[in-house]
Amino acid sequence: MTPEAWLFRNSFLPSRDAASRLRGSEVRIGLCLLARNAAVTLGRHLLLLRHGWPGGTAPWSEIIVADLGSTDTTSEIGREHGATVLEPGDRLAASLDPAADGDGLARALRETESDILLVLPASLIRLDVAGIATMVRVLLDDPNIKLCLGASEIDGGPLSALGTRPVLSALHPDLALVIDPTTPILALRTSAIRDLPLALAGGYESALVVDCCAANGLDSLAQVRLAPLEWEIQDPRLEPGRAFRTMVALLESLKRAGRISTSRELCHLLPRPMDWGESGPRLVTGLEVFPWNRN
Amino acid sequence: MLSIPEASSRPGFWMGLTLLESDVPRIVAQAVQLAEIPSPTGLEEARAQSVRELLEEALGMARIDQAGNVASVLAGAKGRPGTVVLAPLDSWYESIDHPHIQVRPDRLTGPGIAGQSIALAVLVALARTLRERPVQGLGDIWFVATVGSEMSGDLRGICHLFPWLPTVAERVICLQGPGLGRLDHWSVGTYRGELAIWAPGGHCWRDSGRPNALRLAMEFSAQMEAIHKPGFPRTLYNPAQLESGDAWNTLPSKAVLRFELRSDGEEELQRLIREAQRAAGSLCKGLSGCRAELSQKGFRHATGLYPDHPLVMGTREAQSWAGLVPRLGASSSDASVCLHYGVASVTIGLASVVGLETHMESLYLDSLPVGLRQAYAVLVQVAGRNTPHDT
Repeated sequence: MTPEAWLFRNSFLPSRDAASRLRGSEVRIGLCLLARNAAVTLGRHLLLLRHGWPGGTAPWSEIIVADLGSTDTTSEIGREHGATVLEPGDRLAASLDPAADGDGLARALRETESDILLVLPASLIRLDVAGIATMVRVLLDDPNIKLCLGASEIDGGPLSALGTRPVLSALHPDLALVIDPTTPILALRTSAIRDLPLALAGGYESALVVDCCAANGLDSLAQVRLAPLEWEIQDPRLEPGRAFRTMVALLESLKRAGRISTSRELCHLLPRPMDWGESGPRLVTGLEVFPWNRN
Repeated sequence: MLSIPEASSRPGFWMGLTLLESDVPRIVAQAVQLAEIPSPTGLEEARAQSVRELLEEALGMARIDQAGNVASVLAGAKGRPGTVVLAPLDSWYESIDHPHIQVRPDRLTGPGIAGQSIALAVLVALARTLRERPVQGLGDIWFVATVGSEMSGDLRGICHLFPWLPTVAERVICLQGPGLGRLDHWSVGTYRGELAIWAPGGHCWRDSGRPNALRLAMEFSAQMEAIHKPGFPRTLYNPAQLESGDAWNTLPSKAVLRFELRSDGEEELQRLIREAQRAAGSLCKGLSGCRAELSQKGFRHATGLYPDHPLVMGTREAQSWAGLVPRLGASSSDASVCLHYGVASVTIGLASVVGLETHMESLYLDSLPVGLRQAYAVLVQVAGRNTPHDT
């Protein structure tokens, strides 16, 4: 499939009737909310996604709240609304960093029994129900699609526009038409994504796009335009360090896909405790990917 | 109007009530969704569209009329008198682009959630419940969400329903969010006036002898304050808004004073209106270059149902049965127009609310089930009556 054909076939606008069309599906559809200190917004999302779904019957076979180290009542709110709350693992105790989005998704993928998982950040103020329903609908309609991305802005936002898309355009031109490779809103087919390498740090999304494309082909990806995202505090993609982690994860995935080769360590993936070396977790000490032309 | 024992012995009553009570999470979710659609008076289209979709989903058909009201009907038994249930579409606020409702385990907080949205969600829930679990022997029930119920709308939505409304129903139940146990059977007489004053203007030092439009407006207000207002029937004058002035050193050449006169008694209200007209008429007498114009921006008669009216007594019975302490009162709402046209109507509240008409408006969720129970019982009592004008 050419990129142009992909753009024509696998890019969608939200459909108003997508939400009601999800009812009655035999495929198990799970909902995963990645939450850190989201007590203000989580209850609202769970209420609206469970009981405010158009048509009255929500399509979720399970609802998972992957807690990313909250210090407020996020976990309690999740349980009150009947969600399965996944607490952060022991890694937290050994690391100064709180659990990140990638770690939360990895835990959700281990626990989920759903065929399709919709991944949302709980710190969003509002959800575009028609948009996210369309994302799930896309996976239901086409079994070839393994990962559907929610694009909230025409240029994908600053991190996508200034960071990942230029790199993808240069090193993986097939993916240049992905509007928002860093989107935190994903719908994925768990059987296809579970075995892919997943950056446990924040900023795993664009690497997942590359890995999914490498494993399943370009036609395994799709994208849906969403309404602009509104965040409770700020877009987590603008957090300090996020861009760095995103870019390193992306470069790692491009390295795995054979698009770049370097003998140097990109060293971003936070290893699990069993993967630590004798000196503990590896630290990021430098980043050299290209043979920079110093002239 | 049926008594509670009669209503609760109708086949389907308890099944419907059980369904309604189990529907609380959905009602809350829909209230949040509706509250987050900005709907200032005059710009209710988006929320009306959502309510139309919800009513269509509940009853199969709903339409938006020329005024912007959303209406749907649940057909009942032939030969039974009809009933109308009303809820307001418009919000009190005018300038919030993206209202956001906070959902906490015990309450919902945000602009418009308690005032209108919960009433709309309950309106839809009652329709859905009675469609899915019909109660035997009810007449036609019209579910109507009205535009223009706030001050600037001057009840234009409910006014548009006349003279049609009395042809389909003789009883009207108005749902409002705030005030659990509230039973408003009387329409507060209201006159909304706008006094515009023009004066020559000029420099405050050089032209200090000239009339000052702002000062004249304040003089008018002082005259209105000085008028005797009885405590019973309760009567008041409220200066609400004053616009005037151009610069520090100028004499205001124009002033606009918006005020409201309210009274439970029609005679008192009319007396105050005459006093306001007299004060406005004499305000600029003898002042060269000055003019004052008083215009009416809204009016509601002081009228209502007496406490021994069957609708009031039946509603009290339902509230007591639901576990509430009925509080008879008066308000200014869609029911005012119905009462003015001789259609018996009451207004009931659905939940406990604090901070009404502020950005921290909060609705306590534990009060909602009893509010629903009351609304459901009242509706079955009224819609199940055998004759249009029961005793």
